[in-house]
Amino acid sequence: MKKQNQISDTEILRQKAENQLRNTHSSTDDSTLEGDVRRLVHELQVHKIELEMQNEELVLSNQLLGLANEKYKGLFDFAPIAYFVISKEGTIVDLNLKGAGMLHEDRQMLLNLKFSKFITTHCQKIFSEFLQKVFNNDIIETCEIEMIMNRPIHSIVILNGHVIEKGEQCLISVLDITARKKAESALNDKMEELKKAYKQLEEYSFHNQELKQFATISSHELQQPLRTINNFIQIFKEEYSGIFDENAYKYLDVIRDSAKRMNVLINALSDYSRLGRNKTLKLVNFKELINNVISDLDDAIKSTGAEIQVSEMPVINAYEIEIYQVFLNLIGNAIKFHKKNVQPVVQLNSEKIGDTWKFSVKDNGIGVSADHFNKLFHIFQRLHSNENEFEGKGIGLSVCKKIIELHQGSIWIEANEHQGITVFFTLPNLIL
Amino acid sequence: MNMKPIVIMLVDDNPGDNYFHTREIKKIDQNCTIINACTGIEALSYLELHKETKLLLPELIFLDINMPCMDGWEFLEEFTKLDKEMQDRIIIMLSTSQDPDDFSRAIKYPCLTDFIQKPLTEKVYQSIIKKYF
Repeated sequence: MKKQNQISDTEILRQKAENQLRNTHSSTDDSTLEGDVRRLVHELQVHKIELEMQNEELVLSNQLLGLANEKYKGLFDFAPIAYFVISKEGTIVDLNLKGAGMLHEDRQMLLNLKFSKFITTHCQKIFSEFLQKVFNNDIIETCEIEMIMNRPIHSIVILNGHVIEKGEQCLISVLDITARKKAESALNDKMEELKKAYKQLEEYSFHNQELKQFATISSHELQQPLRTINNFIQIFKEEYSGIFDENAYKYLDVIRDSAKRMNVLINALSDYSRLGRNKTLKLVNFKELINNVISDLDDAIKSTGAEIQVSEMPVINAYEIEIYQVFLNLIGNAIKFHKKNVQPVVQLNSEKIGDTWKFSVKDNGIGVSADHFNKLFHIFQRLHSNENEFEGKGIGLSVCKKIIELHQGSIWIEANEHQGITVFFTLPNLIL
Repeated sequence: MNMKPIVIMLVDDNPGDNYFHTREIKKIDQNCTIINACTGIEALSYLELHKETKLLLPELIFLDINMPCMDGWEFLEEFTKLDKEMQDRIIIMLSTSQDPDDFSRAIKYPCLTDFIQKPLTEKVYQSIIKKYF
């Protein structure tokens, strides 16, 4: 096909030349010339025209080539990557603007300088080996070295090089990866930090696990001798009744009551340590939950004549059993710590703030001095020394705190303007 | 109380508890025979030893959880490996534990009849006898 085209190209050219000759002058009509000579002259004339036409084409393609060359030069000069043309001896033959900018030097000043001048001492060997490979192989070679771009700052670069100009020169692109390297090393540092933090977390959770076990086991082990005390007080009383005077039995009762109290405390401790162990997150209707708490507290409400006011409550994700405990403790406290001869009024409110729900349990009770607000959340902290007046384990609020923290929320107390306190707590929007 | 003498085994390492529990049981049932085993191993070897004669084999076993050498759970594991005939007896976990994890673990043993809190009192014992004998 190609050959046929070529033949037809020559034929077309010949045809064009013949046409042009016919149109310009009629030398073929010169009847004075011999037949052979006339034919030769004609041939010459046709060839002359052919050559002229070919010359025109050449000039045109030369112009196009010039344009392409300019375009290429522009691409080379303004390329976003630094390019250097390097001779076999390692001198800079040409470079683009980015290359000059990278070395912070005038382009002209850099010509004929050794490229290795801009390479750190310890990378010289890598570079000379790289250059050798570039000139010996007909493929793109790559290496990573450190260059002195702008004294005294070193930059890490990737060189890509391949031969041009029949193996006399090579074109090298220089890509500065210092920022990338820095980012990589920063990333590595962060990874290390993260690993350390994770390890710490693991250790912490191990300690936490140990602590939980400690609380569970110790509470179990502590029960044992306590029960023996109780049992033997009973045996003692049964077997020796009538032998001792009244005081002896009073003392025994004190011992027994103390042991019972300790039993309560140890149980509270082990309950506390078990909090949230089997927690499950589910959608909870807080209105319903609070109504259940209120019916659970029926006895206390009836005996004190308490009034419980509940405003609108949300339906959100929470650990249901644990949240139930929170409301039970808070409403229970609000009723328990009421003022003498004052009807207890407990107000429950909820409010959405951003993604978080804020709840409040407000009472009109005996109140707490502001100094004690934080102390109240400590385990076994009771503010009333008289056990008979306000019975309790001193664990209710610490349980609430632990549960709210399980929900990643916070809990705090504020004094009301006139009387009583308000316990606030927040629950973030936990995702199932 | 009119009933045929029953053989009871207390598997518990605490002598104080054993003394008290024995005393409470005897209040109801003076004719019963009470065997003490301090660990699961002791209880198991007693059962093995009396397998042939079938004399003084306990019909009711009170089992503590925390014991040295072999605890209550390990005892249950071994007990389920005994002959079917040997397994035909009432086992009641008698423990201090109020741990819900222990309750849910107990449910997994079909050979375990009940799970009660220490101490075993006269009243509790009576209700057990009523329920199972």
